[in-house]
Amino acid sequence: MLKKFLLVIITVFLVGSLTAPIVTGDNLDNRIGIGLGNPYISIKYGLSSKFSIEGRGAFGSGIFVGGARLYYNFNPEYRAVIFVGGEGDYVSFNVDDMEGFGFVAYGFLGGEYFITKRLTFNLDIGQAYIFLKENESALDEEGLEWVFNLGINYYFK
Amino acid sequence: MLKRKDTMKNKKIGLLITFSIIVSLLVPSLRGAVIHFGVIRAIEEKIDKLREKKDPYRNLPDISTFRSQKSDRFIADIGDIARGHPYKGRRANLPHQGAHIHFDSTQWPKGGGDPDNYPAIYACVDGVVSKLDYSFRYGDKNQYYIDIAFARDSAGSVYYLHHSIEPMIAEPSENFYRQFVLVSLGQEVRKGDVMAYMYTPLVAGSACHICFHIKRIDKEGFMAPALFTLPVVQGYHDRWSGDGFDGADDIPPCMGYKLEADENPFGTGAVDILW
Repeated sequence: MLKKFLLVIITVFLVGSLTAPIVTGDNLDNRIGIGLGNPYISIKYGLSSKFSIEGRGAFGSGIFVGGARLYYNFNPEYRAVIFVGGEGDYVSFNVDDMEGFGFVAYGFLGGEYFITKRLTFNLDIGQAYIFLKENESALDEEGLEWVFNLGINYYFK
Repeated sequence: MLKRKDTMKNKKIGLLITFSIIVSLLVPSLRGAVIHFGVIRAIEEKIDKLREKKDPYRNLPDISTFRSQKSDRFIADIGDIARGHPYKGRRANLPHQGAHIHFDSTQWPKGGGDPDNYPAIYACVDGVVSKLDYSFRYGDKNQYYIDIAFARDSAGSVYYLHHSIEPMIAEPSENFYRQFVLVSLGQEVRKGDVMAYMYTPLVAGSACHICFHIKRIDKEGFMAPALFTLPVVQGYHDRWSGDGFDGADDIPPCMGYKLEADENPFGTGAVDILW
């Protein structure tokens, strides 16, 4: 179900990125936005029309993930902007019987759709390398996982 | 104007090609993959795996389950058994804290010399390999054994079934017994899995046997391996031959005979017969 949904969304983005007219008249250069997603909060800044950086914090039950992202935008002048990027995060967890830390390295492909000049809908999918270590036992767990993110951004400028 | 149009057209074509390549790479690797909705979900899954590593026995059933839900898979194929006897408790005339399954090593292997031409040793319950030794050494002799953790109790004790390949005889060559063991430490096994093959050098003759009993991890004391359905116990009993006696007393079909209370894994006290 999730995969079908993903396929439809990606198709819409691809079509939008090629055919939609310019509606914002802006690109992502020097713009600051705040984001909300599944579940994360973020603040994003356009370094140039092609590159953006973002700070992110994600929260779960007893889990905190904090890190930064770098985006490369293929077509910033379009309504549907396609991007690739990388993310690095620090993880800490304290759940029931276990406490520990770790990190995530995530490479992704995604898109950002300008609903209005300031409000965007965005998604990305990619593979995350996750490493976790439990404090008490010193046991660790690592591996690659597919991750899919959805969210909205609000740009101040 | 025309030049700008051409540039835009080229850009679109470039984008299309780029994403065709990316999607064609993504789609095959996504086939059958689990996609986590958000990084938190992916981390939660990793934490679950970490938890399993830390306590691999957390999902084992309560030992009381095996009072009513018995296994129809015996440790060996009944037809392979040459003789045997149940666990004989401390109240027996001749106590022996392990049930025995004997094989006639002069009759094996059947076919070539490969391990799978020897009698199979099965997991009779679902569980986790909690301990094993491919070549446990005692003096100048060796043996292999496998422990399968299969249950716990309300106090947190973990119960395991110990399978000891006996008698201890020096290996013909270093690590020779290793080839007869198919499982590894920490591996999950399912009822019916072949865990190993029964091998002892020919010199063992009909003394070649599996000694098995229940124990608790980090606790003293042996318990009767009363894990099997009555038809299985009956079939096992039919193969006991002359070993099914306690002195002069003929032992009826059971897995535990004349048990003290602490030899009964189900905590139902001292019993004469437990199956």
